[in-house]
Amino acid sequence: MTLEERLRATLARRAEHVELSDSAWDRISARTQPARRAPREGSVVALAAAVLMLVLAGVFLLRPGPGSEVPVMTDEGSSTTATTTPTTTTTTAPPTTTSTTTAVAACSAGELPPEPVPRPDLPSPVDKLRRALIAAAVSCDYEALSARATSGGGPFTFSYGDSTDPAGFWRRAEAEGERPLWHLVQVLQLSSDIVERSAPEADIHVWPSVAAKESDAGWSEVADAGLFTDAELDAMREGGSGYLGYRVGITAEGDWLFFVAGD
Amino acid sequence: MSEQMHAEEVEAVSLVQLYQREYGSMVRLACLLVGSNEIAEELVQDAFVAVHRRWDGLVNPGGYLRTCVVNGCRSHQRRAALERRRRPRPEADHTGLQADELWDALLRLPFRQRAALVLRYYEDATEGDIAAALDVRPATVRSLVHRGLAKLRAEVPA
Repeated sequence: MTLEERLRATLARRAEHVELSDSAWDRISARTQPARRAPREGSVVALAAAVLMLVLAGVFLLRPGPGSEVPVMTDEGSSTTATTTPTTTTTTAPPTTTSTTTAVAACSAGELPPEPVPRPDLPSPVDKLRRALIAAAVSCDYEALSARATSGGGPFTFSYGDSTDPAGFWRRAEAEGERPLWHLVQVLQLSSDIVERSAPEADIHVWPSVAAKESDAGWSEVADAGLFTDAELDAMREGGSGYLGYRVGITAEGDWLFFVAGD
Repeated sequence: MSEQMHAEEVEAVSLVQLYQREYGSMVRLACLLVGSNEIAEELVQDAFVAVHRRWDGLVNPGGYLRTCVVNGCRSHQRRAALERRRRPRPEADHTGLQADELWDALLRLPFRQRAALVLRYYEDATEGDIAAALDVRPATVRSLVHRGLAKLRAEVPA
């Protein structure tokens, strides 16, 4: 019997012993029914809240603000003759919009130093993209990152599951505490190595270098950067999986190919 | 019956049909990927909930369901691996079957190699379907199957 035949037989035997819970559908139903009804119940509340907000906003906007000119109704003459109509004098001040709030998009890379480590050895298109990615990440600019990811026209790998919305994926990961943008910046500040392809222009520059070629120096660099605990790195190294942390790939022509973690 | 109610009924029936058609096979697939009947059921139920959330935009709910199941298994394996690093403990066979060298070796493979082999040799999935479920290129599927078999061959005596 070949290995493939043995594998088929093993899998079939294991599958035969799988038991199915009688209450599975009930559990799924319990989790899907409220989700289907919630928006409608919630929408009434949301609508009421929206109306209230609009009313409050209207009141706020119509309220005279400090330093603003308000319409002044003068009624002189209105009592002297019935044919005299009240006159309305309106003085409009030039708009002086002063923004009191600054939009600060928070993300894990928001407080990292924005200056890229100089890498004169990199081809210009590669270093240009590396700098742009760092700048976008420290600005927490998901859309700019997403635009870079799709600008090459080819496939871009950011997940082994979701494949359509890198910005959304990174936002969700940040919300769940995974800190992908922090990793992106940190990894791009490390050394890289080249994975050679059939043509020099197709060569891929990979960060960190240990993701392209394993070496003691490469593992040490990742450990020193604090990307993982020693135990996690030991598990990757001794487990034979190689480096499985966040890694970045950019072609020699400056196309972003991947920013992904895991296997 | 209002249009909205009718749409709800259609949706419910369709999800039920998907459940009736796929639930058992998805649990068996998940069990082969994570090695635990109980966890497999939980992951497949999560996948059905995920399918329900995106039902309106799905062209191929069955395909999406399978991708969700495989992804759920991968996430579970990742969490379990991290947990094992923190609290090393012996691997347990949750299926209640006798030890099997080939099965044990399969469970030790990296997730994508294992998933490619299970989809190929249990589900008889096409290269394209495996590529879609794992979100990789077909050439990568060939490589995963090849490397997975090579590792099994090296670990399990003929």
